Amino acid sequence: MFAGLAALWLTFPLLSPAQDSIVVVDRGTPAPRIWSIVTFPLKVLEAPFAVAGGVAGWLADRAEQGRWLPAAQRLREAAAKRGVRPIVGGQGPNSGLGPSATLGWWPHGERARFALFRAGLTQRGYWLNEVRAGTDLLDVGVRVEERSRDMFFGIGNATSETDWTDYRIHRVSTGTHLKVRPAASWQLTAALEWSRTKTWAGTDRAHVDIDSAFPSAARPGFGILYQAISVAGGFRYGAGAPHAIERHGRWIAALYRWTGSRTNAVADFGIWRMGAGFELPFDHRRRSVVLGLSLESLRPTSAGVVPFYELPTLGGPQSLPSFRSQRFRDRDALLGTFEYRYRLWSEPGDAIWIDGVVFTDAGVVAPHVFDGLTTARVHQSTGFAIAVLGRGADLGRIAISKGADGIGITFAMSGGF
Amino acid sequence: MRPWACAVCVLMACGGTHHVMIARLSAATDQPAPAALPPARAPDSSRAGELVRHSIVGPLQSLFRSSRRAEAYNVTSADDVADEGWFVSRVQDRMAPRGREAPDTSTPWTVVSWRRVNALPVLTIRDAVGDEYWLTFDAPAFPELATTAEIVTARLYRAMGYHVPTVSLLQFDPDRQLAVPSESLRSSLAELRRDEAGRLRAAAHHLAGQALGAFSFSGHRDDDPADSIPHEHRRELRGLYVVAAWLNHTGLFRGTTLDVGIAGKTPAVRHYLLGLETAIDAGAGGRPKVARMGREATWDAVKITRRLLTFGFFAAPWERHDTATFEPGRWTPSLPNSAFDHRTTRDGYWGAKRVGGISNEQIAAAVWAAQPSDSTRARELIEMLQARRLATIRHWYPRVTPLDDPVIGHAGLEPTLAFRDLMVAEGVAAAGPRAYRIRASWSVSATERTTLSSSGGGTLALPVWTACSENVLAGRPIEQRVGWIDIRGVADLDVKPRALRLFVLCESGREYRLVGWRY
Repeated sequence: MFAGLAALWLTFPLLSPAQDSIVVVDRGTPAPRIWSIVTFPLKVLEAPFAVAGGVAGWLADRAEQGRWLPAAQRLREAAAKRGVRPIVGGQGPNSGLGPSATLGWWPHGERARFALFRAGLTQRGYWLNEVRAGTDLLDVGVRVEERSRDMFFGIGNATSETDWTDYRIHRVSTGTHLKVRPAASWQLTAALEWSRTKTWAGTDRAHVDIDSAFPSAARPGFGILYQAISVAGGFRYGAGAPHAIERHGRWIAALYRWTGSRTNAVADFGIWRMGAGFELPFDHRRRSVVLGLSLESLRPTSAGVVPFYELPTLGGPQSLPSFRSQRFRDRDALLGTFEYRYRLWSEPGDAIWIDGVVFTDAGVVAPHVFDGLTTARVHQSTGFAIAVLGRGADLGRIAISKGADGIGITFAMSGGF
Repeated sequence: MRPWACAVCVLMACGGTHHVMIARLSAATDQPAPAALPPARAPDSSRAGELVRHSIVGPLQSLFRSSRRAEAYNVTSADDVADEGWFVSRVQDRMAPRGREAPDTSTPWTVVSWRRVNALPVLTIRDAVGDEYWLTFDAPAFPELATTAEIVTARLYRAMGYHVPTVSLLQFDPDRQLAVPSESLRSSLAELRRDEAGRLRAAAHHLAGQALGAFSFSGHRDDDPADSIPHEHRRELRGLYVVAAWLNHTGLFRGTTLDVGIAGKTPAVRHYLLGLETAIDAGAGGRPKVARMGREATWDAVKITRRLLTFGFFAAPWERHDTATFEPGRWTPSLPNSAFDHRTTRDGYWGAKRVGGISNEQIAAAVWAAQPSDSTRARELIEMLQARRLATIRHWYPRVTPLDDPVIGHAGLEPTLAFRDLMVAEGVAAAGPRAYRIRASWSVSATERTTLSSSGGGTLALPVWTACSENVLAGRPIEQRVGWIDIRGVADLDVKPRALRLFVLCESGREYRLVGWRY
């Protein structure tokens, strides 16, 4: 079974038509009309649907049967005495399947003190290492990651399906987060972070690298070693229990992040991220409608270029799923979501359930979104999804949807590295 | 080949014909195995495996099978089940278990092992006498729920004739009673609710014999020569559907069964039912049952597909009415069960008779044995079990002609049938005049009337078998001297009842006598 899982992990891109098409289609060739994105931003700390999660489930089944119980119990007890609890599971965003492991002292005590080390790898080369420690109020962390082969579409609405190429990002960051809950429904956050980011062209011979694909104006900040310090603050208000079995609630959140450049010719800038929505149930909470609206807006606060990977984007499983990840990129991004959800199945204890979802997303990117609403092109993605939910969040979702670029099949899991 | 196995083969060969098998009820309580006990095998509680077996493999196999449901193989000439390792027909009150129920508390127990099941600890302990028990507990948020369900269900199952562990209530101080518990066990027990005296409430389970692994509700054990009848064709397992429905035992599946070997001069295997903590109003993990339990399986592909294709407009009744009523014929266990799926009306009636055989006093005694601290809840539980019992009887009895204890006699030269109509005896129908359609293999259909007493007793005139009374059949082979008489109750019911078929044998004395029947 382990060999089978390993084979699946290694060959997954070959089994997926979309991944296959990315590898073999030369730039300029018309894109296939049906394609897929495989995105796995999974909450690694609670990863029940990972490949490793499946293995864990199998092990648990064995343990329940009592076969491995003595050994598993001894191991757990020995680890618990030292406050260490290992967990295996998880994947990386936009990068395919792969396991991650988390090891350390998990939240315990009145202040939920913890110290965790995480490491993960996907079959597409995305890897991450992170050390994080703190309490439920304040934590600090150091993170090193490489994201390989992200798609680059350029800036604004003018780019087309055939304009993409790929690039890599290598990032080292360290920072601290402060979380305060003045009331049960409210959460205030503040963060301070230093980061160093470097991009470079993809090495796949089938693709033209980003340097030659786009003029420098269309790929601002590409190829430079960019250092920055960010300060962020925001709040989140949530009432009820949206995305939970109760299907009822509303939320509103806002965050402002200011980033000061430590690199010549790169501008300082601030980003507003705002979102609001609600879920309204009916038919004995078997069905519900969800409406959501989100806005992301970037404004330079000094002269210079803004690295393209800092710009707000639309596209991918989380927004406009019939388009590839980061398909549209500009200074402002506005997204509206409507969903009709209905329950297909639930676990007897209602801890996990499966919804059918009919959804339509509409989004626009522009230099100034409210000025551009009348002139900018609104991108739509309408489709059907099967969503697995639990613990107040989408654990995973497979969707088929249609947009201007064709029909997309996406598979996504919430959270992420 | 053993005589009973021959009898089963004969019955299988003549299923659906008018032949009759004449067999005696076995007085043995345990079916003696012809050889040593089968080897023990690892327990198997994989719910995923069970779902795959029944959701994928089962439907594929069904494509190659006849859709007609065959009757159970192991029935006697009285349409009953012989006593053996699966079931014991208990004439006296069998609620009182044999041997000691609870562990000896005079000295601290040794903790043999412990584990967590659905977040609750399960301890295996050994007392001073050397007997082993496993202890289960209530969830802190729902005191007395799971332990009450286990104690009540164990007593009722036992009273109906099924093998279950002895389950008794235990209240103990873990600090005094457990010798050298590990730190993790100590912290696990600390999460449980204690009474004012610092004692934990637990259900103590005990099984005598050697655990041999789980039994399946389909197929049979290859390593047990005594286990030759496919389990899905066993009457007591098919009829268990009705019993489990009454007790709302939703967690019954392969993983909650156990074969136990009883060593001795004639080694035997008894087949036990476990998982009693998921019966009545308790669910897994000591939590209360939700509305869906007992009404929809954990994974019901048909319902899921309907919801999917109708965009959620299809809904099962329980989804729109949280307090759905108990429908004995539509009760659904959480996991698919092959024996339940193969049940016929005759199996259902057999199971309903087990349920109908439990008195209100036995129900009350079982509930009070759990020593509930809340008498209001105890009374509600008793009323609920009584109501479900009545609903079970009202569902299954009208589907057959439930004449019990049939005896053929004579009134002058006329043959008569004395019987007890359980429809009246159980209060489903009123005493007084009642009509029955009677048809024999040698006569045309006729309607006979009788007046039933308050206990359901009555007498009917049976058709005269002229060929028999005129001694025409004398000297003929026994197969040619067997006839049948169908009796069907005439009542204004929603369902047309099955006829009771009596098998009679023409004796040389020019009379026929009753040799068997089936509902």
